[in-house]
Amino acid sequence: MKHSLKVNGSQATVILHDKIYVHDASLLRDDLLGIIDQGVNDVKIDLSALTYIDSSGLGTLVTINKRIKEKNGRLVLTGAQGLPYELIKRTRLDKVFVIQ
Amino acid sequence: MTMGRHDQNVTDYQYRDSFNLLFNHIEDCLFILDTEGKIIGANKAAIEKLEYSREEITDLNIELVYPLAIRKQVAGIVKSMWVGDISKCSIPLCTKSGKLISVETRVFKGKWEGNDVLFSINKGVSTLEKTEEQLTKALQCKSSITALSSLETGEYLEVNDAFVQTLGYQRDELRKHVEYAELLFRTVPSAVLSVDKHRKIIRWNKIAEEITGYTEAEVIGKDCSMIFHGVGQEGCELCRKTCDLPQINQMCNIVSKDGRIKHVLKSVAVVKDELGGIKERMECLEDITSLIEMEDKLRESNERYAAIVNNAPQIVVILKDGIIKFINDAGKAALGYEEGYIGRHIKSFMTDSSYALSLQLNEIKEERCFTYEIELIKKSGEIINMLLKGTDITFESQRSFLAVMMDITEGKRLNAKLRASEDKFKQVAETINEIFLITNKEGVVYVSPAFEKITGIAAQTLLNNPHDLAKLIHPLDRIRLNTFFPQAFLCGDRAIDEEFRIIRPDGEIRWLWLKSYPVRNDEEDNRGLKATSIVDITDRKKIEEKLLERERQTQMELLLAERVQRDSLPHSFLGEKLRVSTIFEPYNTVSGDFFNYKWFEEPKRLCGYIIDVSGHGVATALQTATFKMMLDNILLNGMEIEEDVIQTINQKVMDYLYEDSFVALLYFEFDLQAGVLKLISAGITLYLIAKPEECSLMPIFGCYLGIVNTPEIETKTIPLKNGEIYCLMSDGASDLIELYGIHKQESFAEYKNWLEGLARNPDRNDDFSVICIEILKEDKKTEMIDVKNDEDLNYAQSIISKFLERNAPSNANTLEVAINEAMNNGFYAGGRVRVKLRCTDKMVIIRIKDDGPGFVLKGVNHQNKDQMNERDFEELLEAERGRGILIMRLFCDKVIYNTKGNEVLLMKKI
Repeated sequence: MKHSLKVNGSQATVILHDKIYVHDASLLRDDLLGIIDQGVNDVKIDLSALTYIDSSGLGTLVTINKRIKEKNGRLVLTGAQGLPYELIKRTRLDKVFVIQ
Repeated sequence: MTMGRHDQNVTDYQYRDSFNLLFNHIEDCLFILDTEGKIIGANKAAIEKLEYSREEITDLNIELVYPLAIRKQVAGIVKSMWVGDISKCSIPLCTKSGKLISVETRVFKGKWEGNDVLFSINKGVSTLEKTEEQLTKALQCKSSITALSSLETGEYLEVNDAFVQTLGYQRDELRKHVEYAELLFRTVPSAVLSVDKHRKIIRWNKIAEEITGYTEAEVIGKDCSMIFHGVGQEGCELCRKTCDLPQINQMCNIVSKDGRIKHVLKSVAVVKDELGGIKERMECLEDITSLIEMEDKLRESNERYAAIVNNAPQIVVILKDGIIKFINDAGKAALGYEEGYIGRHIKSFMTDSSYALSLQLNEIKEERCFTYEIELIKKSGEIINMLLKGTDITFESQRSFLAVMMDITEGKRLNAKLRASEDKFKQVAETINEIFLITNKEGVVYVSPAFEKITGIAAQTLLNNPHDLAKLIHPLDRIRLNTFFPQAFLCGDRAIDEEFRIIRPDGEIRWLWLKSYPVRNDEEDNRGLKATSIVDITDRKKIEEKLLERERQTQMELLLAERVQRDSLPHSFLGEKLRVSTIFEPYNTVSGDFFNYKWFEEPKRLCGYIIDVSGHGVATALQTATFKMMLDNILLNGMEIEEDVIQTINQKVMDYLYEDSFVALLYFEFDLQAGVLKLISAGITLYLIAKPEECSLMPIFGCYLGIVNTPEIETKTIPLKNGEIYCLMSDGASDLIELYGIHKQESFAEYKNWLEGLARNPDRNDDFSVICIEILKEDKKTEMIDVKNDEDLNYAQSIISKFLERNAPSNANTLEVAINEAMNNGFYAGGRVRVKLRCTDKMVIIRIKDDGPGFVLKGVNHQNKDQMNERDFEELLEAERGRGILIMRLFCDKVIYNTKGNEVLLMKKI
């Protein structure tokens, strides 16, 4: 598992580790959509320990963001650096996500 | 039935006839008076008793039937009777021959023959007559008793006529005495009453009525104790005591009719019969209620006065000719003597100068009350200052002097201190080169002389117009200060602390530092006083500017030093057998760490060193530069290095280093032909070895260089294996690894990332330097991977990652994304994908083919990179898929699909 999840009421903090490949992105997607369906709508994803992500991971983040917005919530990405940050910038997704 | 006129006249006549008959048969003297006070009718008794004929008395003014001496008074009484103020009186009538007839007169208004008249009834009340009657009866019966007064003793004794004669009283004298007693009873200003032997009231005069509120009719025949005390005789101790004894002026309380307690002085005369039995008690009561109340008030007042005087914080002294007659407790406490004040002269407590002053003032004083300061001497010898307010008074019937003194010693001391402080302030304000301003709402109250010197305008100009200072402010500062200046510095509660420039009239620019703060005193101060100090800080500003400039230059030089230091570091190295990558992070701009290495192609050896000089400033960096020159010459010349070389270095280092400095050094020699690593340590104690199965920090010992002449040095030789990673580091790095723990990484790049992360850690407090060396595995330039399931996919991801790290480390991250995008697309489209990775000297080429149906290319192959712009990604902002090919194109130089769309060729120059 390349992610760890901590839920507190309607808030959740997700820490992504190491490399998120296509399979890891799928697991992340399932877990987050699950907690969103249970009422979580304030999600913070910590990318500081993430060293790899590709379009499958980015697609998952887009899906989560959309679903949270539908619930009038907010997704915040923090600590992005290195390749993940470069990829988010170059795919223009920094316009979509709230990045801190 | 009506009465006829004749019948009416007959009836009137009958009435008048009857009235006259009654009028003339009454024994009391009756008069009918007209409004002028003339007697228009008198009865027979009046005519006979007054010895007038009817003709003489008719039209006679009523005043004429009274004694000559009181006729004027009678005229006034008659007038009062007419207006109804008086209805009765007890003035004796006077016969034509001058004899007095005691009467009690009552009047009432009425009509007589149609005119307003006063009917005057004068009832004979002559005691004399009664006494005569009694005496007559006594003479007829010897055993009977008659009255005689013995006024001197206050006792009355009834005696017979013989005893009268024995005592020498004649009947006429007796009459006069009784008459006089009667007059006294009526006219004395005291309440007089008589009680019989049963204590029943038998006499009650007017004053008694006034004091008690009871009329004579209400009390006659009643028990006096019931009247006076509301209880029987038992209720009054005095009454019980004075049953048979005369009393004079005994205090007694009685209760008036309205319930009020009245204080009276009671005198009692006892009338006894000839057998000594009490016959009558005559009591005289004098109302002293007001007196008692006044006495109470006076006593309270005296007590209050005494309490005030004795508890007053001021000293109160009463002097008679300078001699102390009274001194209060405060005075005793202040002077410190317990006793012995009374009778002493005040000068014994005063300083000579104060006494002389008091004498002078005493001579010239005009006002009764005056104030001056004196000095008193305490018992301890201490002199205290007093403010004396004195006045002449009468004390114990003697002209005396009252002195009230307040201790002002502390006040005088504080005043002196304040004066000294003010003098000092003024002295300071007027001598130092700083402007002091005292302002209030109206303007400037005080400005120190320095104002003119600093601003170039006269102080008077500022006093005339406080806003002149604002006019001097430099235009560049004016906008900034405009929000509060000039009003705010003059008044208001805000403290101001500003620096600004002014342009003096002579054009010189000066920097001023203005501090303004409200002045508060103990009272509610509405004057809005503010104190302002203005300091000329021009010189300071110039120095600050110079310092800033110097700081800028220093910073630039430091940055240049940093650049020089970094430029002197070795580049990353990638060879066939090993690769080297480094991390160099100074704690402050320049580092006390340094390292260098050199690859010797023959005999396949990497030699190098890392040093850590104590400290991490510029001086330390200079020392590292010096050592670099020396160490490069000695260690990187291809010669075999042993401990003795390091000892030689130590000797040289000793010459260069300051006393409190030292150097840690680690020399390394990767001998790939021999397959061993030699480490010679002198102070650097840890290094990291990462193997495929484990990762650990290894210790190595050795003493710092530059401390002792022959430091202990350790040499360690370790066998090398392909794939191993070594990280040689300064203690700034190893300390953090020990603090945060070792984390095994998957690849050389990941180790480097991890260490770089540690270098960014905020807890770092030292220079951080690491040399990462990987002993490369077999030089594999081609990989073939067949991915048929998820497990294969995971394996393929790992292989691709390592392939790229090995062959294209500078593009490994982005190429990995691009290859995975292509591989993922193929795998999920066809269920099976084959990946071929190949690396040439200049290029990485990846071929990925899947078993899927392919897709419609829509000109993907023809779209050159320039066309792929931000718009492509922005169109996909909300899309969850579809970025794969765009990312491939982003990170690769070429992305070429076959016609079917199930095979793609990625190419990237390296």
